[in-house]
Amino acid sequence: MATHSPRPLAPGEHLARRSRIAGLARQLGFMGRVEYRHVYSRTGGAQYGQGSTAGQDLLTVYAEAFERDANPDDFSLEAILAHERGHQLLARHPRIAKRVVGVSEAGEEILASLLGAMLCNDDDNRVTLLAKATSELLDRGQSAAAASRQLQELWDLLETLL
Amino acid sequence: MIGAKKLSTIRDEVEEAFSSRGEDPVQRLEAQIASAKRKGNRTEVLEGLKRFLERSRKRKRRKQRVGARIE
Repeated sequence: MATHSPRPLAPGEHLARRSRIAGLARQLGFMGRVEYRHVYSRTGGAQYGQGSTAGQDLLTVYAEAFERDANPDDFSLEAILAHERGHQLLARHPRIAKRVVGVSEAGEEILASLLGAMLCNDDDNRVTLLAKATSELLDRGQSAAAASRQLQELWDLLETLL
Repeated sequence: MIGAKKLSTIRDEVEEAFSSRGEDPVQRLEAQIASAKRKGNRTEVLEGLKRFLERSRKRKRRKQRVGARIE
């Protein structure tokens, strides 16, 4: 992050960002409310919040999601939102939610990236989320071979549950 | 949350992890894909990582070419 606050938006830009997010969230199958906050967060760009029903779930997208999207060396907005939709599936999908009870926070991040990868139409976004899941396992000390093997097993399992 | 780690950092990590003993990571992934296929195993993850590294390299090369032209 270059500065402590995002640059001011031009008139109409807030609405344009909100519409873009809403369209992408819909394409990805997100249920619930979607909002855009023109502030920097510590989330990386977006956050899923679980409500008392799926309709009351909340997807909040922050300014850095758009900055990352504009950087070809970083995640696109679609990839960021697909990851959050992955979190919603972990919480809401009847078969998946049952299987992930008790999974650690780090484990949830890996599964959300895999589910997000499955949802992306664009292959660039799909492979970036696969790379993110791999990086999480490498950070936990796994070898490249073990990480790719484990991810393939999880991919197979999630595919049958989805 | 997708977290603050940049995709370029992730690319470097993945590249390093798959290039043990100085081997080219894309070639190593190709060998692993071939081996997995021979065993009848699925390869979505290995193939995805291979495409990820290949595209990152292309982008890097394009950037270097543009940089050289500007200089």
